[in-house]
Amino acid sequence: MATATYYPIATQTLGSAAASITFSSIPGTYTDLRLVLSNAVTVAGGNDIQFRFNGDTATNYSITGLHGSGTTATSVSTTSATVIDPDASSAVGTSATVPNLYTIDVFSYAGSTNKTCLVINSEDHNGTGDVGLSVALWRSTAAITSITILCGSNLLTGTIATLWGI
Amino acid sequence: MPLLQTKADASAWGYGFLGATASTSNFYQIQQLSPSAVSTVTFSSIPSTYKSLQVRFNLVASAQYDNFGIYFNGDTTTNYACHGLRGNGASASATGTITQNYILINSLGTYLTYPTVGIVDVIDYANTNKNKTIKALSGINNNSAYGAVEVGSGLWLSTAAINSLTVAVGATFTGTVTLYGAN
Repeated sequence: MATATYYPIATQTLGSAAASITFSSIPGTYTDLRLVLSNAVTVAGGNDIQFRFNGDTATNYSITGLHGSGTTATSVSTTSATVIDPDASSAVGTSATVPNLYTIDVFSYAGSTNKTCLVINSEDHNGTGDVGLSVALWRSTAAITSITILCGSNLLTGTIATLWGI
Repeated sequence: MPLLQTKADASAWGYGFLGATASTSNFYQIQQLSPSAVSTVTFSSIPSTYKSLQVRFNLVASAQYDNFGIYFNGDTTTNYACHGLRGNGASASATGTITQNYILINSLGTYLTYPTVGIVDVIDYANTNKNKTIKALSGINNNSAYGAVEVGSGLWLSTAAINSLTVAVGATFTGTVTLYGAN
């Protein structure tokens, strides 16, 4: 039998509202990373939930998304952004009581290529919703050592983020 | 940052193949390949001891608008079909083909410099009573207005157990391809 792999590097559960969650000092010993943000709640009509690597705030991010709203399928893109924002085109918005779910697969995060990831957002607000698959790029060949989840209007108590190493 | 819990105990948490957690890890790396400027890579002698397979890849292609394909057991006859739901940054579209020589993973194509990434799940690959179905997620982004992201399904019309899996491209690719087994 091959060696088991798929390790929880860390889990963070917010005990009170916070504008960000950061996983730092990520070891470079895995091939890929998977970040699962579950029970993601913020205030109704709040800011999008966004992601950033290594604290880089320059315009090095881009994303192409495929989304379904319940009535239409669309595809959108954003270039030269300062964050990865999978919800940039979503009209669903945020809720304090109905959580969104995000899964981000980061490939070859410790390698020397530019960093590409697949993002799935699952948002159902009982009447409105958005499901999306996006491909995001961080134009950097640096190894990823930290991932930050951002929300300008604060992530609320109970938001859970787990980082897996694969 | 206020935290209720921090947990990094590898022995206590595990991986459920499609997202659930289990008491112990059930996701195994079978083999990892690091191709350099080749047009195919093959995982051979795949053991039949898992329930499902997963291929994860991060590959930079040597040609634009090239396509990645997957075929099984060396079969390149017209036994494959696939469907895709894809987005190019401007519009969403769907595609479907039959009698193909392989399963097309990224119908919208590759770019230079930036990796094409993907996750391919091969379900019940060792079952000799069923044709084989896969699910694929893939994407490429090069910071232009035109990227490509795709959800795909694929069919291999064969009841043979899968014992080899080949990833192929028209030109060449460089990067990492890893095969995992899940129980």
